[in-house]
Amino acid sequence: MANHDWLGLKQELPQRRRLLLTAASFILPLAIWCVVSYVPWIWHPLMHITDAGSVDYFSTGLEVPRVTFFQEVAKARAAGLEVPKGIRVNPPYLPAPHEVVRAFYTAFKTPPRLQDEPWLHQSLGHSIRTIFLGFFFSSLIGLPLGILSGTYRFFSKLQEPFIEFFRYLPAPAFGALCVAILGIEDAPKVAIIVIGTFFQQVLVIANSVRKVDPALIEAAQTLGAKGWRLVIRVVIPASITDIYTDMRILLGWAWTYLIVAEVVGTMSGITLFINQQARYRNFDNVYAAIAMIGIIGLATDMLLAWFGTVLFPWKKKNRKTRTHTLFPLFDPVPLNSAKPKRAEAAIAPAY
Amino acid sequence: MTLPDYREQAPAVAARFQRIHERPVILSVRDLKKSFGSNGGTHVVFDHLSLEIHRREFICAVGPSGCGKSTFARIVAGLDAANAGQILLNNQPIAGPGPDRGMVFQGYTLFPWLTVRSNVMFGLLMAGKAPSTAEGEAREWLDMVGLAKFEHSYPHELSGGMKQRVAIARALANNPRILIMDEPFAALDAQTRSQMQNYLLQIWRKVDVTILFITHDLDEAAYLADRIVVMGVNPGGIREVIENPVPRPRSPAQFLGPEFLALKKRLEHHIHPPVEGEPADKLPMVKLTHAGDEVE
Repeated sequence: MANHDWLGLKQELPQRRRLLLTAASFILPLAIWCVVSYVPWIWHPLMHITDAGSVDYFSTGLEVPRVTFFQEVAKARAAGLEVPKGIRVNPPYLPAPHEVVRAFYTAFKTPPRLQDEPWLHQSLGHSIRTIFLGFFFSSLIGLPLGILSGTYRFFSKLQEPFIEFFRYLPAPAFGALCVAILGIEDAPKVAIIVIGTFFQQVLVIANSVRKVDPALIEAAQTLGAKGWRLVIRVVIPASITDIYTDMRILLGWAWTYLIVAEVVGTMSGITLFINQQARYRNFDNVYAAIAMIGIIGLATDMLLAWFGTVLFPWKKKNRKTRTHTLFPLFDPVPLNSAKPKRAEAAIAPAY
Repeated sequence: MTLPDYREQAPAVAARFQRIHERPVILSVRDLKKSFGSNGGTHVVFDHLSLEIHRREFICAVGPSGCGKSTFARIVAGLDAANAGQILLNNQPIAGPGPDRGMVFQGYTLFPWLTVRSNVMFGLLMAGKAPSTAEGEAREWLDMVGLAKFEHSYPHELSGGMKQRVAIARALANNPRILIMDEPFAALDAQTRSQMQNYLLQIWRKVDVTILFITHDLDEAAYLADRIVVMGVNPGGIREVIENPVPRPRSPAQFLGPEFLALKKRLEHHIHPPVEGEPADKLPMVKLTHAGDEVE
């Protein structure tokens, strides 16, 4: 029965292979990056001048295209002058992995160049606060509206057509409007995230609530539940795990609106940091900051996924219905989940 | 098609039906009509369906698919509305679903977010009982279905048969006048199903409840029922109400007894009536041949 095919169609892989592939999914892009960075004859399109030689516009530390460099070398040779020397390097916008790794540490340690500029951790904190506020306000209204819309056709018909229309309006388009109404500080940024998240949120949550098995509602009705108690005691608990997963996905979307939101009004947060470091040509810091967004997002999601298994212990331990989690570590499904114990056999059937 | 005159053969059986008929009528269905579709193209599932069920009677409704037996159960439960007719429960017309008519569905409708015990407590809490009272009663019911050990488990940890036992306990905890079971064991494997049938009979003996059991399994109906309501299609409705001659208490040993076989034969006659005209062996043979096959 066990199929040991790596490419088995829709077949779950053994845990060891899953771990291996998870590792590979990170190692492969890293390996490509390492090869491009550390193997001197791959790419490295520039020459870093170590000795200007006789070329008057060369100077030590200057980086010139390889073609230019070798033309000058040829010219100098032909003229019998001192030949310039240099080493092959990559452009500054592609730092080597170790430089970016180092930047993770140094970026936090380096004080800002100007007095009133934020430190990296302040920038990050600012961004996280913006995301949190935006997502909070969006959920404050979006959650109840979504649940109402999913439960009652009345609310569904009343609000969803308009929301369907509105969600096609790109959130950044409201940037100027938000600044005009809410000023240039954090309020318009939070508003952009709300606009980007809210409309999707209502529709996605309404859909999850609509998916509740009608048989559960019917069963509850035959047990005497009706009206709002049916919503509180059956509809919401029946869809809460799906809603939780929706919220996790929506939080991911909120992150994608962050960078747009942060350029609205006065640039702030991690976007400000990235822009300034790029201006100073500290590309290692830029990569580190971008990677940090990914790490924070992923870590939050994994934390929430794990928290979900604590919150919802009934969540069916079934591979087919499980929500996506990146690491087997946080996989709520034990690999060889025990089959339910059969109690029938233990009870005397004699009648 | 005649059954042996079991009233004379088995006086115990006749006496049993006599006793049942002396009990008050608990559910009375009068001229029930159900049709689907609108804008002219209506399909009448059944019309003028009338039935009286006595207290503590075990009624099985059988019939081919499309005969409306499940629809009938859902109307009695209040989950679907009839187009005409009346259903009286204890002489009161029913209006919508309510805890006086418990229901066990074919799919497992336990609430996955509640433990087994909380599932059984659900109806009790809805009825406004104190949690401590409800907890005690739920435990008793779980004991009755033999699942006291599993009170803190979640439904996904149980097997199909266990889930249905919890569903039965959950429905009975509300002290319903009638328990409606819509093909409750159809999704179970044969062995579990027969165990569940025994369980159900065992529970029914201990509890004052009337059962309306929908099934397409003739053996199941013959094994469980006092009376079997045979429904048909085109036109839909009740074809016959058969008083089950198989004496109680029932056991699988009776499956080969004369009463059981006679009853089975009669049920089969309704469900698979002999086709008029061409006998089966005169049907033209369809030959699937491949080039090179030696076909006789």
